[in-house]
Amino acid sequence: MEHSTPAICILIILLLSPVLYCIRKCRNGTVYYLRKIKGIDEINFSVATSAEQGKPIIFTMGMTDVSPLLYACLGILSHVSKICAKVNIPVIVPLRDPESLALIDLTLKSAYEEKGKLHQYDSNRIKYLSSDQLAFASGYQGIVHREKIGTAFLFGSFAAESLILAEAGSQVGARQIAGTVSAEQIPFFITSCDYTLLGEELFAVSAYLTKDKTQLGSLRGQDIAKLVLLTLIIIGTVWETLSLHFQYFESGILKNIFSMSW
Amino acid sequence: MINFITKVITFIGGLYFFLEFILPKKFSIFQSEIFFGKYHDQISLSLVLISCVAVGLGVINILTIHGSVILSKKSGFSSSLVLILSFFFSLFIQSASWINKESHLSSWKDLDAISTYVSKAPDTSLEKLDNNLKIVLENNRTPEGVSKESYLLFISNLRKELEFNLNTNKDIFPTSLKEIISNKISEFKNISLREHEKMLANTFYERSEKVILNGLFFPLGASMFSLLAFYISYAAYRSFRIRSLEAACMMLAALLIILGQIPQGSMYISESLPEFRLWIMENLSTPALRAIAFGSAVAGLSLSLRMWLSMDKGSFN
Amino acid sequence: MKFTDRHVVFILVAICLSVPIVMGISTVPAPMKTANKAFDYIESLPEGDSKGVVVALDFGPGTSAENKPQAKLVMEHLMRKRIPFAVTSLYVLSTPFLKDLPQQVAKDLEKENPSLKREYGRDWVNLGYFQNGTIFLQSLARSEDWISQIKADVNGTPLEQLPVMKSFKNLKSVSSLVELTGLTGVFSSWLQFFQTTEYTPVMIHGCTSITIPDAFIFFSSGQIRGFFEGIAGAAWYEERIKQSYPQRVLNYAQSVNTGTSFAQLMIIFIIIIGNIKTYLGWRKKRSE
Repeated sequence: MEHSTPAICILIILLLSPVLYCIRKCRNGTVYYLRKIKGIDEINFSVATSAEQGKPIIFTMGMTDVSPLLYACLGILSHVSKICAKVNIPVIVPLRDPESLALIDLTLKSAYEEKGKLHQYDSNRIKYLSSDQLAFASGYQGIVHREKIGTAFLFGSFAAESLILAEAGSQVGARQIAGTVSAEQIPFFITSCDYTLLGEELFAVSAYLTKDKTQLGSLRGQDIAKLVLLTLIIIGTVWETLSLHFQYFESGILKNIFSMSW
Repeated sequence: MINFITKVITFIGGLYFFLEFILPKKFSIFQSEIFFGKYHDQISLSLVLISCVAVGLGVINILTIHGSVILSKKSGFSSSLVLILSFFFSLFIQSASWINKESHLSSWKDLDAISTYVSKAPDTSLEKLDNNLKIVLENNRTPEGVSKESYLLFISNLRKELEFNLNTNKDIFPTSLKEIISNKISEFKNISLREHEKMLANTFYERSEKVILNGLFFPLGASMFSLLAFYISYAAYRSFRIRSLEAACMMLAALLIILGQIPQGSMYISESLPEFRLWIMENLSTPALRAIAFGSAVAGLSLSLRMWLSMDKGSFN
Repeated sequence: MKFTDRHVVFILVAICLSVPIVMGISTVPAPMKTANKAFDYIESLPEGDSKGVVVALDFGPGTSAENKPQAKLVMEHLMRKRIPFAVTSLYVLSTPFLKDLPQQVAKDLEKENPSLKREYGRDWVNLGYFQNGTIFLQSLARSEDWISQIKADVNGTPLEQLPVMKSFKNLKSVSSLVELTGLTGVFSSWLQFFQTTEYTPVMIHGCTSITIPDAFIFFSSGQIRGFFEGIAGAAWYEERIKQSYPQRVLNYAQSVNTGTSFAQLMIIFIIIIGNIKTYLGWRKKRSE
């Protein structure tokens, strides 16, 4: 779709207004229920285990470029690096996209500064490996084996190299927690990692960890937006089914509504 | 103050792209027509320029990290040395090869200009074409990789093709003549390019580029990808255990899909296996993936909105 | 070095994959409805069609094992039917394939039958790598004149010189897009931007085995007419070409597909062995 249609404008309003409404309500004091995500405890537990073993942690964002997904991953990186700063173990961040280098550097520095450990921060732990997918995977494998990683965090968008990354950690006996929006890579992470966050749980973890009211309200708004989508799907399915039997219901009407231009 | 300026710039940038997507391509307001996306290509290209600058950041990072390892002779400094040397060598070879190619292509610009002129026939003048060919002969600029004699002979032959028409009716540029000349130029250029490529293949730059790309980079990339075959097999062996009903269902689905896509399944077990496989893919796998995609898309949309309106506290100060 | 389960699995998989390829064994592949639809569409195009086909090779050396046979088969089919095509890419590592693959296929066809000689500039054009990605796709879809938009082919030859460009005046003169990639997100860009509200070319996709579930989303919604399901899809497409052109002796995908099928049977076998091993371990623990 190169350009919006009137129906798309209406859909955008329908999907985004619950988000804005819930953010406003949350900021005004409403408390929304958030179910426990097992991955959160796993994150804290894994970092603690690495600290006991004295092994470093690796945090990779795979193929994620500068996008909303990167910001969600930075939220988790911030939380992990704060714990690492507290327990004094290094966190290594191999990169594929040089554009995100400055953002990751700022995130780590802020986390260390908050814990009063800025003197321990070493920007050389952020390593740009390669923009090529497989060269990046090769470099990641090398780091994991050489540094004898204790815990590996794989959050973001991944392509075919996901299994190579996960297997590398598995070969050194590292605890691995993954979260990806790349649905076709989820099976690979499930087989190789100790815990996998599916799809939007990755975005939810960031809200869960920071307890930020904006993010919590946004989570609630997203759920309502998904209900809106579900309603549209049900309406469309029922309408199309009835159109097979009753002339009154014109087939393809919803599709035509969405493709009507200005 | 800086925070405020950042928020304003973020908002204006996001607002432009949002309006460009939402508003009709052309619309009237107060009796004047507005074409909102008129400079969209140029604005989008500016974002590409920012990405290009970011490549420099990555290079600085590599040089800093590995340079410090080399200078302080830490363990593994020989690997860092190899990386830095091969980085500069590849950069040198690729740059030299690119400069050679560009200079070769630009050496054909006279003939390319003539060809473009010919393609516009019959709206072009035979006489002017003949004059252009005369100028090319006088200029003495031969394309790289072509001998001066053969080039001059070719241009002279082209002029001879025009001679008959010039003497009979110089105001008309017949389509048949246009095709003859276009085909001759195209053939001459293709043959010359092939000859030039054969000649270039023996130069230091081309041979080095071949070793780096075809000899190292491509096979290494293919080898890394082929590791997946082994890792997938081992991951399957390690994790596919029938411990529960769900695991058994998953195993059955996996078996049907594998047997449905290999020749032996439809040959020795059942001809309906490919149909079963297609049913599982279309009716079980695809809806699940769609559901995950819906969730991720809505979450991404909401996060984009928060970033645009600078509502997030952010992970960094 | 301790010899573990991992080594046994790796050795078995290596043997299963390499023996058919080295010995040139190939079996008739399993039928694929998705590849059938892709084949039927291209077969339905009139021979010597005035409309062109854009073939986007968005793959690099990593996924070339699956995407290269797909590319060669599509180009072979188009060349046999004398349908003009333009090769291009949004991925920089595919530039050698843009140049070499059509030439290889043309050479193979000429060897089979000299009357099948195909020439660059007349039967296909290499538009090269589009570095601006989706921005360029958007402007290309909107453009009324591709010759003035793109200007020259990868060799710097002005596009007006090339007879094949008669079939690529603008988007409406393109009958279909065949997009082959192993990367995520690239096909979505073509799908989203290589169309206008008035016209959408028929889309055919070629993917690697990993991204097949993703491609099914587009197939079942009708956004793509057909697609190659990795090497298995390419093998079945090759089988259909063999059935239509019995004199064909080439083998681009079927021996590789045979190798992967043996490896998949091996995977089933080792999964069964793994489960038996686990079950025996449980029994032993219970008896203790």
